[in-house]
Amino acid sequence: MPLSIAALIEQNAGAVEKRENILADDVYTFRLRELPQLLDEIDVVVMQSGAGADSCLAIECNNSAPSALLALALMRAGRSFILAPPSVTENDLKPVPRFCSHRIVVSSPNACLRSADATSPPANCLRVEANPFYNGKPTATEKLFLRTSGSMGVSKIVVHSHARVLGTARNAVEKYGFTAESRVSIPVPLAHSYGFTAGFLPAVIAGASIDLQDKTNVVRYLDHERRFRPDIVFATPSLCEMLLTGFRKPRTQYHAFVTSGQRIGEELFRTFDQMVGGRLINQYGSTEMSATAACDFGDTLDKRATEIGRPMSGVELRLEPRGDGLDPGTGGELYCSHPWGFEGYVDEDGEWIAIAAADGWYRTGDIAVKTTGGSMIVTGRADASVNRSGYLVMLSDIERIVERLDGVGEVAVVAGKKETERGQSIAVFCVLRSGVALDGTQVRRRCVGLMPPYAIPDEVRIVTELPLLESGKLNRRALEAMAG
Amino acid sequence: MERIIDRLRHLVAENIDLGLTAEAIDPGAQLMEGGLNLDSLALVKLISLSQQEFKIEFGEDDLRIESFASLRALAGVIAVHRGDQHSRSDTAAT
Repeated sequence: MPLSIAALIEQNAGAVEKRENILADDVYTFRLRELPQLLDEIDVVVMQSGAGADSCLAIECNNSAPSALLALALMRAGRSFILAPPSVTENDLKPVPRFCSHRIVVSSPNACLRSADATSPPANCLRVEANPFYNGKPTATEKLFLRTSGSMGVSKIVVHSHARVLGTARNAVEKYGFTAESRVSIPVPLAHSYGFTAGFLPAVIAGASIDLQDKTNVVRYLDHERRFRPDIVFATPSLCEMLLTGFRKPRTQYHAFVTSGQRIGEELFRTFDQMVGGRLINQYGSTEMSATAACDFGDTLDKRATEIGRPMSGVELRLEPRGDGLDPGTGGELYCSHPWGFEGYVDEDGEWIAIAAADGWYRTGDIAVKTTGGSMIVTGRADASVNRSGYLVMLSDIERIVERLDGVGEVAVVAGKKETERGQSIAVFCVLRSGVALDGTQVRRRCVGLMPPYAIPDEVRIVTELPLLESGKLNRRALEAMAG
Repeated sequence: MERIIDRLRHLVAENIDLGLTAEAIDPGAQLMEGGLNLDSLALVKLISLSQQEFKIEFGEDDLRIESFASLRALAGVIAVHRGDQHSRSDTAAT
């Protein structure tokens, strides 16, 4: 019988080989033997808020020990919660779903450094507020809600159960070889599926030491690496690109350096793999399906750099014909069946929008081709979007924004051929209104502030007309060929 | 040292989207949260630009939080590198 979070916390606190392992961030360092008591203190804070046992809580979760402890406390208590990234400022709090009775804000490690001393209990870093827009509806217990890394519009709310996320976490323990001796560094957000279910929970299951990095950058990462000496790291391609500017020599201590969140370019993969002693693994997955597939450490560099690898335990993958009428030789739509996949999507009121297919198969939205060895290579998206810094950006969203700029007439946005530090490049083609004189740089500059930095196009070209097909529809293939 | 600081202010103003002129950039302000709020990509750009501009290469030991606390702190690290280079070229000339 798989262990519950409650049992795992107690086991880690008592086991000789685990109890002195740590959970740390920039401010706090806790031994695993302290965790039961710390979680009890957090339980008191939550109970004192008046939140009912059948209500859902919204955690604004940064990469800190208090955030991690709060999530564990709620899982231990069987409470339902949604993980969300922190609001940028306390004066501009993000709205929480209306099915959440309370919001819990966790002070950032920097705020803790500035105001509290490091001996103050982590429960003191929590601020619980009633949600003024709570709809009063009860939520089933033991649910974990996650927002998708959505485009610039509203993200979807994905429903998991505690049992399923623990199941997917156990897959990661097996795949990446977590043990009680592991030293796991997590610079990717705990508020996202990848950081929480592939990095953090597996480390908890193994009773490993954990180092959480908030708002990491190259100098912070190097500082943490010097102090903590991790042997398992969960990163993104953007972080790998950044670290290349800081790594001056190859590392030999890594057992696993995992990247996910966006497609990693082959050149970056090969270069960075050398810096981490050949231990780089790209994980394929999604908020809906969690960790889905990854290569094995014994696979060749060619395979690890291009293929999504072996499905996790219990996961199956298949290709279906493309729905866009394009040559089937260019790949099929990738479907996934996962024993620990999501239950469905809900809206901000907690009402079901869609429930996961009864047959368990999920359309990933990716296009893939099968290799002669039976593995898969993902070649693109089926839905005119690109992954940028871990966010799925719909190209149509960028079109809508650029179209509204003064002087701009018709707009078409396509994915470019180049891989940039943020992901696949974005190219905008504009036809200007009559009498307007603007260049591409000027149009691009006007995008700053109107869209998130990761969505700002890499290239803006002014054209006299957009290419059309005989049917009169936009010829996107021609634009993709023109894009850099 | 003041020349290095001034050059860094111009590099930041001209290459990083802060919406500030060089003159408006406080060399003592924190580079990250609570000051100029450089994100991770902007920090990487600053490292690359500094290396190109001053013809130095930061060692791993230079890439510490203290070295990037502010433009003034960074200028200090750059000055040490340049001081080392100048010492070597002086020695070679004699």
